[in-house]
Amino acid sequence: MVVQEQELVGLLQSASQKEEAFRILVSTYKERLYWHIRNIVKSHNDTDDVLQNTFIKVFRNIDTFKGDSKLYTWLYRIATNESITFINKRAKRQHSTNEELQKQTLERLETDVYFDGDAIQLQLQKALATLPEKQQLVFNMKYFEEHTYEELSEILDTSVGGLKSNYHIAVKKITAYLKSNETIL
Amino acid sequence: MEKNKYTTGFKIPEGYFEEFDARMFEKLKEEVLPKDSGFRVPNHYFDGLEQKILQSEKTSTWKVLRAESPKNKISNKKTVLYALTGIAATLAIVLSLYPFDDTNSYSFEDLNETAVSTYIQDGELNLTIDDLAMYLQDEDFDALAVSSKTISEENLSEYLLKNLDDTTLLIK
Repeated sequence: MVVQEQELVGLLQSASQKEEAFRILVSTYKERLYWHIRNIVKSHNDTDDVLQNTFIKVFRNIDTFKGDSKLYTWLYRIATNESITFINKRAKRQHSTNEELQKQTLERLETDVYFDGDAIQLQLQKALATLPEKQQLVFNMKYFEEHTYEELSEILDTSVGGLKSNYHIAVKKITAYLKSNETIL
Repeated sequence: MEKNKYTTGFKIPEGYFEEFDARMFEKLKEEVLPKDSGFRVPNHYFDGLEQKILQSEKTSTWKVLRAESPKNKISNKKTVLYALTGIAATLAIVLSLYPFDDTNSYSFEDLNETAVSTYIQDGELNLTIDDLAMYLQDEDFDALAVSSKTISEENLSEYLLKNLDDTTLLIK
């Protein structure tokens, strides 16, 4: 069933068809949002939790969606915020920093059954972990998720110029990291 | 797996996306449940509650509650130690006034029961029943239970009638 975004929003905001429309929404966006979240939180189980929380938040707040931005932009924003909040909360609970937590997550990645990346992919994740949060986000969304700068600009509320700069700095740092860690490119 | 040009190496469990919707909607059922338990507190209940608790703690005569804090346990232990030291010192002085004679040595059994009761009732031993209970072991309670069998029903009724505030409790 193909439903136009605007029509879907209308159905989501109607009391009688909300649930049915929500099924369509979940079915349409679950995979895209899953990979977006997975690139931020890394572990499958954590991604599953954050993905569910994201949809729950969407369900609760759909009535406040005014249509000023595209629906998918709004969904990505919620998913991004949920992912970052999830990491921050966990770091706080463990009296740790986000950086330390990310380091631990990557250490576990090597034995994670849901990670089958080769040595270069693993090094790339390690290189990514050395970047500031915003640069990680931009790199993941541009390189792996293949968003356009225009889409990123809407989702991350940043100018295209700023995003390009972020992306190029990220690429430069990652390349330098991989070279210094003797990974063959 | 990801369908994009560059991949991360992350995988998902088999059939994950197929069964995600069902789990998602199961979780969504909770959304129709009330978010609030319905319990309320009186207005401004929490304002100044600390002061209220501290005040009632100060005026409380429920020593058993105080005894639960480790600090008070130490304090009560001190009280017992002081009391016992007092008794020991008194006994030492009394015994030193009389020539020591093996044939007239005293033991706990030789103490006059009435004199001990009077000593306690006069408040010389500044302890409540609860304070004493803290120093008894399980076997002591068992022994008390056994010894209570020796109390005659008549004496027990007389004691209860005299000391129980609500005598309706005695009506079977």
